[in-house]
Amino acid sequence: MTDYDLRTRKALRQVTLLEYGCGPETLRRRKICPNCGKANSADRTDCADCGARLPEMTLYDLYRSRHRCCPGCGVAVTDVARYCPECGARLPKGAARQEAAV
Amino acid sequence: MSLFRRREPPLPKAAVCFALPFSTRRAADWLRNLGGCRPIGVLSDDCDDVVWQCAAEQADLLLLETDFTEGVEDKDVSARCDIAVEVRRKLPDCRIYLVCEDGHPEKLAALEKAAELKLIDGYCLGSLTVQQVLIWLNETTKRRKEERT
Repeated sequence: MTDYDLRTRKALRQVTLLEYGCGPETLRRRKICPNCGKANSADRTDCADCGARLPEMTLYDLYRSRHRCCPGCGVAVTDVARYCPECGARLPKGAARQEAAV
Repeated sequence: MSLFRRREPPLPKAAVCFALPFSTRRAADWLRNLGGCRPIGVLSDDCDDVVWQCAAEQADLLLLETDFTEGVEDKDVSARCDIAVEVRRKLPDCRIYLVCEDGHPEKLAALEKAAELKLIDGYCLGSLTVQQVLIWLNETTKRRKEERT
């Protein structure tokens, strides 16, 4: 696979995620309105639909607080994993799932 | 009149691929009447067909229409970007613009990202206007001039 293929594949993945999916790139750019549930852009302070105040926490922060995640690349890993399946980083021992305080 | 008169460079070739063949024909006719480019209608919006025709005609710019109707999966932003990537592989200097229907704010993030990542050169929302096409044609002409110099 050429460098061009790798670059464009990564770029396309980001576009597809923004359009449909919920990868880390999308989650970091989204905040959910606690009032109406609409997904807003992370730079907004108030909901575009109902005007309610948006929380500081992005969807990604919420996701991380509910899953055990790799500190390197951020993907969710199982409780028993010792190495990240995505980037290969060694996972910290005590970093088991933290329950969200929401 | 001098025989050695400097020739004007040929007009850019504008390939048009809309969601339906009849709208492609209409858009190509509209572009021809507008002037400033040589329009080519790409009647099939299948990725291979678009890539082949753009490469065969050596298109300078490509206008791709999206369709955000529920249930239509192969005409969305990512599918069109897929075509754009393949066209760029064959024609690295071809400029690609998306023509998107209005009223789908959820698609804006993906469109912005596609433009930011240079998968496409730009997009417009709603009907294609004369002003918008002229801007895109100017950008294409400027790019062609830069390549020559």
